[in-house]
Amino acid sequence: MNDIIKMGTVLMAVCIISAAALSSVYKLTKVKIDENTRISDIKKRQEVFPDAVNFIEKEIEGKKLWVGIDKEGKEVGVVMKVSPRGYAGPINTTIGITNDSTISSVAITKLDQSETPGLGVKVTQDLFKNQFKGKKGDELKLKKDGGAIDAITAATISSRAVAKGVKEGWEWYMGNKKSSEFRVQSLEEKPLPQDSRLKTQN
Amino acid sequence: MDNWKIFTNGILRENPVLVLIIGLCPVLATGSSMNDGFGMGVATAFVLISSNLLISMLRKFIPDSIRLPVFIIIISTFVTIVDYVMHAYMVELYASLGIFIPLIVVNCIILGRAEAFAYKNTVKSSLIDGIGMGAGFILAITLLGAIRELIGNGTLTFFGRELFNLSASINFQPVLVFIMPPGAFIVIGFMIAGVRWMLKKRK
Repeated sequence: MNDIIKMGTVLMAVCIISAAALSSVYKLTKVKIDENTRISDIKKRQEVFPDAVNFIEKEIEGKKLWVGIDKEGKEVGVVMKVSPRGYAGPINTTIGITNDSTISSVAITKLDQSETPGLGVKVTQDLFKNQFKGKKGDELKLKKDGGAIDAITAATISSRAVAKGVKEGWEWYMGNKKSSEFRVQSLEEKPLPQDSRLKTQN
Repeated sequence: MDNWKIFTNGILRENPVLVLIIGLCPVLATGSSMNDGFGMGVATAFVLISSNLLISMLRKFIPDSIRLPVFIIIISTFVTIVDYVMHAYMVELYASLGIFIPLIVVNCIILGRAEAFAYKNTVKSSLIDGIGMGAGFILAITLLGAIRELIGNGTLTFFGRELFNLSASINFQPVLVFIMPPGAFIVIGFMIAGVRWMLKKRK
């Protein structure tokens, strides 16, 4: 009996200490992790539209997207996020679509996916991502599916997932682009430069 | 056992991967390139050293019959802390290692050393054992990754830098199977055989 009480006490003590340590570390790091995610999101937006100096957040039919504005205040295109299911989980892909409805670029970092190291992870490499530049419609498929994208050797599922996600994002944009909400306010009433602080730091 | 012997024990005579043949799952799964192998090795070694240290400190307070659950709690707490701290303050490193960190919890090298060494030995020797075993693990997984990457991809990358590229220089046709799981088994088989042969020769 005594043994059981002793064991229970030790186990409980270890659990309480672990829980306390974990929750305090979680609290301490949460702020920084959120900040990192925010910065990385901004970086990805700038990666797909290097010319844009500001991005205005919009929400159209429940989908969040960002309209890129260049130095002269003109719209350069729309940035959106898609999360197609890859081989080992969602691949969070940031895509940019220019005003003439082609893909400007695709951004995926290593933290956005959980594909197989050495194989599926290669969807984060420029060699793969750059293929999407300037493509639209049915070109946004793997070559073996009748499109124009080369799959990564031995990582067809991951490659196909990204292509599918980009195509779905593009189709959604084509279906909704007439929506007046895509238009940004006139030049006089300048929107709040929510991303500009970071831009100057870079 | 003197300290030097404990240290070298982990590297050769009792190399966790190549002689004890434990913790193979993360080795085979993540050792597909030199860079990833090294990263996984370092992350594992860090958790191994910390858990060895803590468990040898607490060994007098842990009742024998519940030692395993206590070990698991300590190890998984450590792994989660490493995960948070790396994500917050070492984003670059986390980007390349992040996916491997949760795998460390189920790495039986760490539980194995806690049970077989740290629970029975002093803090100092447990620390040295952790460093030795960690070094042995890093060496084995990095070598495995390097061989597989070289044959299977024709390149060698380290810290994101390409050291050399066989396919570009001598028109080498990469043997893809070496990056895939069967290649891992083939290469580790040869590595284990090599170490056995070396140990036999030394006797």
